[in-house]
Amino acid sequence: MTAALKPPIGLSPMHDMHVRVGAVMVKQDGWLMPSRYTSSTEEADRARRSAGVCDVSSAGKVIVYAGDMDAVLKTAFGLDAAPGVLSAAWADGALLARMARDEVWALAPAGGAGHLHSRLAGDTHAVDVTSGLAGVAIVGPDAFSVLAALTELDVSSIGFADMTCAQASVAEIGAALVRRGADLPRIDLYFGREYGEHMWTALLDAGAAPMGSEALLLLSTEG
Amino acid sequence: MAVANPEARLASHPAQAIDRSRLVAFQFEGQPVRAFEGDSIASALYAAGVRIFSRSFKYHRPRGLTCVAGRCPNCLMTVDGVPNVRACVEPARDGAVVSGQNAWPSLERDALSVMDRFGWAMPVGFYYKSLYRPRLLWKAVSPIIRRVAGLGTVNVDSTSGAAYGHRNQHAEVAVVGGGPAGMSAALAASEAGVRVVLVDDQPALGGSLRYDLRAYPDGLGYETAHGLAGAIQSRSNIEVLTGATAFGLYEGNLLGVHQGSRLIKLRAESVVAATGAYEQPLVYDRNDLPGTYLSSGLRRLMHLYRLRPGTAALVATTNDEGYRATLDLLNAGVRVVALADSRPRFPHDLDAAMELQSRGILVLPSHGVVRAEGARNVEGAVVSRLDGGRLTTEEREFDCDLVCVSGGFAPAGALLAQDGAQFAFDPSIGESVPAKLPEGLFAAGSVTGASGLDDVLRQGREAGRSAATGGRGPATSPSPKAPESAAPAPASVAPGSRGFVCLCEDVTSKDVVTAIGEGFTDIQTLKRYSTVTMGPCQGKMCHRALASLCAGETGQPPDVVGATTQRPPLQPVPLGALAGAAHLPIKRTPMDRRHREMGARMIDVGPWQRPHSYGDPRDECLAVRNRVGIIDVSTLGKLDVAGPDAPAFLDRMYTHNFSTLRPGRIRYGMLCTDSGSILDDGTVTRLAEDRYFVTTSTTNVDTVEDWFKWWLAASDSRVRVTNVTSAYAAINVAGPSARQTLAKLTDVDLAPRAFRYMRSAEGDVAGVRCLFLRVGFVGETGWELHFPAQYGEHIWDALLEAGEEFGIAPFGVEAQRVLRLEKKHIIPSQDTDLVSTPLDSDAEWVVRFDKEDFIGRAGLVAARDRGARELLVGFVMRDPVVPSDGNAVTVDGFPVGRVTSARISPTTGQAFGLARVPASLAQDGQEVHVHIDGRDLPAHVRLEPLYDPEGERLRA
Repeated sequence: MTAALKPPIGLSPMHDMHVRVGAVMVKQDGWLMPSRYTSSTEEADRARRSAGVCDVSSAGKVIVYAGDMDAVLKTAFGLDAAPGVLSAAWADGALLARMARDEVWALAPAGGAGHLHSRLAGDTHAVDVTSGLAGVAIVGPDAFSVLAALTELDVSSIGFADMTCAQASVAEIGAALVRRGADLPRIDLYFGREYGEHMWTALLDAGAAPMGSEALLLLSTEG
Repeated sequence: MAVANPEARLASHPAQAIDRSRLVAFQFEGQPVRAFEGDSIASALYAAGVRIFSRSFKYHRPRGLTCVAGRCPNCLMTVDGVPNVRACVEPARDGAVVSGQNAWPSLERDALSVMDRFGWAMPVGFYYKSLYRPRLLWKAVSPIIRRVAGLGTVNVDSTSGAAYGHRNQHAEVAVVGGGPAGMSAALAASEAGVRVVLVDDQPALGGSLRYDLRAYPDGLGYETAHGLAGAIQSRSNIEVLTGATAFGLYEGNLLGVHQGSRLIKLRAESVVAATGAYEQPLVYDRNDLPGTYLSSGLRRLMHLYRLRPGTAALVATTNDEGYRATLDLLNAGVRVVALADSRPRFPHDLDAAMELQSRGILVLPSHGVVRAEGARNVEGAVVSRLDGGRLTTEEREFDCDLVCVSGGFAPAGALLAQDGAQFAFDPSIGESVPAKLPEGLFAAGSVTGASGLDDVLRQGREAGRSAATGGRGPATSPSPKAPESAAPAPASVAPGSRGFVCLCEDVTSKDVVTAIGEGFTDIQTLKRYSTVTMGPCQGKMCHRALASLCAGETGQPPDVVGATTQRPPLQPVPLGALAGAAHLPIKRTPMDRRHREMGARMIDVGPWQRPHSYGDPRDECLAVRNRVGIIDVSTLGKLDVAGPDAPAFLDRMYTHNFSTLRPGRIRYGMLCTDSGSILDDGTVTRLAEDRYFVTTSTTNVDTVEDWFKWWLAASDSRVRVTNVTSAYAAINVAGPSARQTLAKLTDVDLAPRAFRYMRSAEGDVAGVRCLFLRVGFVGETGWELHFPAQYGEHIWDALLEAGEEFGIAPFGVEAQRVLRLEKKHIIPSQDTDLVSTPLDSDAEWVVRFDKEDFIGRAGLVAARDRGARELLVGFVMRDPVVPSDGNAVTVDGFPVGRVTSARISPTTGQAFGLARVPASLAQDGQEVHVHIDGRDLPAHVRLEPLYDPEGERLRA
């Protein structure tokens, strides 16, 4: 085995799209992700006014199957009141989106999949889908109309309430959606990574502006 | 024409749609046109003096504004490159570029109007009667016909496709129609607290009330319209889509709505159809001359756009509307030469009629219009006395420059019909009205046959409330019958060769009568033969006339004649709007960018894009055979099959055994359908006692996943199947130097004895955890590496760098296909078809008849007992000529089999491949022929693989 090897770096499926428009790429938790395209304050401002889209493919994603999901969520995450079907709840920094009675998507910041995995015990089946799914966050008051161009799911502010989740066809491909922001709407979208460029292009054409991780951080720390 | 002539406009009026303080400018046929804000393109052109707005479909007859509501085909123009735009409802906007259609050199002087003299050459059923013999005639003539006849021209070079987009919208209540009924329905639904979407195809809300100057208890008609529109504006839970056509109502209350460049898929819990009624034209000789208007069209022209439609008018009517229109014409300063009413009695109880009488207007009861005079526009009209509904020879001629007609109002029930509403013929109004509506569908306003504003508003309120509260409600409460004198008379059809039933496709009453005479007495076949109702208006202007002609000629009552099926779209929709933005979902592998950078020629493999080759596929083959090559196989389907019952489950799914497979080993597996035919193949690796890694062919992974889950759903097996295709990138490293290349990047012991063929291991490659599968699709020492997809480029780069000293080369799908063919490895669906089994596809060894049951066992037992009729064999051509897939294998000139794959072997230079041949010919060395380009060329059957038949290189 040769000695001088570059350390592996994870690339998002939209990597090429970011690089092509001159995004500033930074290493975060073993991934190379866009931190900003122009200026993070501008990007955040635009999201506050209309809609920004941020690549969050590096997020840790684990799909958990369990017969007695309520019990599993209580043991693993200390959740006394488990979210109902098609609802989401926060637990210790992870977003738990219950897609079905026996299926929860656990979403954590980048690098968090292993941590999520380790918490699970008992009669569960967990699949780390971090590598398989691309993710984007669509943030801003126009997030709903951007998505309405691409999905038949009722993604209006009323039809898709805060802390709810769903699975639907978006831009002709299967995707999971979680709404996780009330005042400043934020909808996270997860889909097969092979469709990264397709989805990114469709979202930009539908009116969302690219936004780096710095802007996303700015917006999320505002509360 | 240039500048709008101020003289053309009447004095300002509160009902007007135009804002004279704001000007817009656009271009028409290269000339500047100025318009007011609120003008339609057509109203602005009219003000500028344009009278000919289109040339007709076949005869190139001049046509002018008629309905002014976007219903008829008379003002279709090309706007900003988009053909067939209805200029009368298209708002005039700054910078628009407008031109006429189907005319040369211009609408005003169309040389092709000579076609009007050749009507005799174009009888009804033209395409059924002519140009079929000699056969080549059609080829010669059709390009000319296509040039001469028709509508606008699509610009095929246009790149404006991206401008089209789709939107999805949801509401509890969708109301179609922004007239009084629709507006009151929307308000009532909104008051119930639900989300409402109101769809209207006109530029502004109000429907016929917008240009209704009559006094009602709550004010003048247009004041009521403005009041309702204002109330709607103030409701935050009503979204209004104006200029939007609901063109179809589909299952589940899905409305297709076309608005400009957008297609809106509107899904509602309830739909209120307040679609109104279409005013009908009359059929008489030259009823299409410019200067002929529907009464509603005239009132739109006068009241909304304040245009003076002419100086002297003849009004012909079958109902009360003619009287009201006459009054409006008089008030606009137009002289009315006469009013011909087809009804026998003067309507004494109609205020408008009494006022006309007091103003000394000549009213002729029991009269119908026979013909118009003029060539390019109306110059006069002739009316005749009616006797029992039939025209007599007692004619009177009038000089006039416009003819205002009203043939009654046909309810616009198409949307209701599409959702399954039943209609009944109401003799009191002579129209079919909705009688029974399905759940979730409501109707209100004149589509139900209602007249009278009070009734219409009440119906709207009730329908809106019921729709919002989920009630079934009295959707079509019977409206009080109109007084007898107000009931419209059936329209007569006057003789003459230019009495158009169908303005869209230039079909005359004579044509329809001829078609009925030829035996097309059923309205559905009459429609198809004559093409009436099949043009851009989709029956809005012609269906009633067609039905009444059909009834008259065949002697059937109207309810027996019935109606043609009103399918969506009920208004033409641009294909671009239906197609939407050009977003074809394309799957890209994690190494996609690298392939493109290296100049790969990408091809579609199912939904994936894969490199066909990076240069010459032959060089790529030789690199793999002699040195080392890498291929991106990330597109392979990958399934994680886990759980205590996984071994038994796979035994049942596959023809082979997998419970006996030891962890760390790989076995080739074939999946069959219940009947034993091949579904897919791939490798199955046992990772642990209760966990397998299954690969499938690129395009079949979803089928296999579904197949597995379908069988699992019916059992209580503890097995989880997860599709991990997206999660793993995969690279096949193959060739004599594959081992040395990989060894530079990993600590895994790759020595032949340590890592044997068909074994697996886990280990790091260039710092990334990989699953190593030692398999050999291309027939060389090699490993398939599977690893997390985000490291695709990292591993690809590392391998190319490590292999540089050994002459490594990336290879594409084409080289892989050649290499596997040399090894006689089959590709399902390429070398097999729907009935192929493993027994006839050179894979009998994968079928374990000695194990219990498995999917397809019964079918395979039967196939075994029956014996194979044909077998998949290899063949080699005597000369290096490559047959195409599907070419026939022949014996004595007769086709007996077919080629499934063929290539030139880079190793031997021979043309060779796989073919299905009768079992009797499946003998090594058997002489056959292959039919290539009209010749039977010699070949022989070869049962062994062309390359490394013993598999020594594979195992090395």
